[in-house]
Amino acid sequence: MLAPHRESPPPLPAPRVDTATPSPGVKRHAVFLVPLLDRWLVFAPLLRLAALVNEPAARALRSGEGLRGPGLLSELVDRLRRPPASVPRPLDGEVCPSFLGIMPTRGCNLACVYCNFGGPSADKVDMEPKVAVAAVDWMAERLVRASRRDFQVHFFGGEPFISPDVVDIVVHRVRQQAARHDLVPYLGASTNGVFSESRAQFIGDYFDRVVLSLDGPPEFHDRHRPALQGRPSFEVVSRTAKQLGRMPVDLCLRACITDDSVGEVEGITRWMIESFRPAAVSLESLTPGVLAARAGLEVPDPYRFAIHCIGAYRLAARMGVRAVYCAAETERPRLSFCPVGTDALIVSPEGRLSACYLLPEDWRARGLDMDVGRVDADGRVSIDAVALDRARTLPLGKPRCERCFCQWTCAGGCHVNQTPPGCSDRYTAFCIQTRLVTACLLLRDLGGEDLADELLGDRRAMERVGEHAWDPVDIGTTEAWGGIEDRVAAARPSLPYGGASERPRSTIAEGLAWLG
Amino acid sequence: MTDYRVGRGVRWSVGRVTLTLADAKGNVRTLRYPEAAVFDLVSRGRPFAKVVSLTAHILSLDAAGAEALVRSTLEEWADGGFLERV
Repeated sequence: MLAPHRESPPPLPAPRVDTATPSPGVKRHAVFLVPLLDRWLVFAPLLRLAALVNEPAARALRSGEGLRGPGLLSELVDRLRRPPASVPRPLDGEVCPSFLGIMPTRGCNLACVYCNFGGPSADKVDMEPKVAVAAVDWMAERLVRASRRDFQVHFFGGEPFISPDVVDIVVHRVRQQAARHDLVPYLGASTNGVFSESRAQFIGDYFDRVVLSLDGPPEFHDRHRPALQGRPSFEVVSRTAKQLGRMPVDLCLRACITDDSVGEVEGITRWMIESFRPAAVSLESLTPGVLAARAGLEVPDPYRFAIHCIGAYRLAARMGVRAVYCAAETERPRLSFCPVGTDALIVSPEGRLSACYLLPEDWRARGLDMDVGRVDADGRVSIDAVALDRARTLPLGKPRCERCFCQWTCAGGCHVNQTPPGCSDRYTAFCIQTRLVTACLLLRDLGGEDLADELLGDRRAMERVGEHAWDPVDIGTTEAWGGIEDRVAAARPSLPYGGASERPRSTIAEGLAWLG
Repeated sequence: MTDYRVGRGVRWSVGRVTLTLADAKGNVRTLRYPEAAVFDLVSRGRPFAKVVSLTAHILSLDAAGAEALVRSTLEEWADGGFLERV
């Protein structure tokens, strides 16, 4: 077969201007101070600026005294008071999804011991072809009306490729509509990789990005991700990863890290890169759940996770591959960790249009309703404007995040599993590891990897970063801008899972200010 | 019912919204939609009846319309050497 032609995805659509206001009670901040050994990290995510300052400078920033006059500190303050080019805001107006999610089935051919998607017990009911076609046509029509060209579709499950007919219909309907309307199709999938070589060839030919779950060598993968009858799945997943790694698809290998495997993260990363040549390696810690507990799996210690995650980032960078921990998205500020709130719409097998791909019973158990509409078998698509608005503003109500410097980068993690309504405002293990990884990535961007090493070698210093009670500092920045709430520009999300095929890198740390 | 498979020496490349065929003699043909979908399904060994039913959904055609389209398309490619009748 000839090598398929591939182009880079187009730039994201221009930000939209809207006038929605954040929910009351949860204030967003612009400048943060985080204790780093004997220094302080200044972080202004909306300005894409980070700097290191010494203790007197941090005190001055906190008290607001001694900020004027010549010198580096006043220069820094001047920069911190400049208005940002844009502030991520909730969308409003007519819906035009950032991407369309298709869930051909909730069924799965694996029985992962930590599955949070109902896979092992879910009904293997396929989406009706008419529902799939109607959803694709609706999305194409929305793109045309919005004068957008990027036709992004991502398959979720269950395991999407156990419903090959639905996948074939959607892939070709998308391409047909793209040709008709001069759109550019981008197809992606999140998959377990358990399918034939012929199916893998199809995916390599037609898909732009694949997030493939592979938890490491067989001793981890087969324990975590057995097939339905308890048989090992490693061999076929490994074969798929090798095959896709040779094809022009953007392959992201996603490993779920547990307390057992956290010490092996660097080794797993090296093995993945050497064995499969992925574009990215995604390292995500186990989400606690009933099944995981029953299997004896525990979430990793957040401090160990941060240490090994940063080790893996460095290793991957040396090997020319990108490591990803989704909660530490330092490249640009965002309002939401995931597709929720970004107008991405996921079509379930039964035709629900939802903002989230998790199980409805899991949302409901946390008092959430993520449904925003419906696709009927007769092809009608309906959107509930009130429900859509609810999904758009959900990311704003995160009291736990108010004091955290990661509020614009992690953005609170999963709305269902990490920061559901009414959750405690105490930092969790997820928060602690995210704060540490984010701080180390900012140090990396500042050229301070030696400081990151020092931090990761000092448990007490790590605890100061991980559990620092209040990061925001008010230096009159928002007043100088006219307030965060008045700077309105909606940022569209990138890709589901924030994983493999991100846009070109730019550093958030454009200001290198060594004031120590 | 006749089934089809890709002709010997025929190669193809998948573009954004097209599919390009090349036979062993160097003849090249670019397929657009709907033909690109039909070729993909046949090239992956989908039986004729399945190609027809999937094409019906992809193109929103009734069964008879889809069968006529698929049949004539496959026959033309078979005559041109891009497919072989099985």
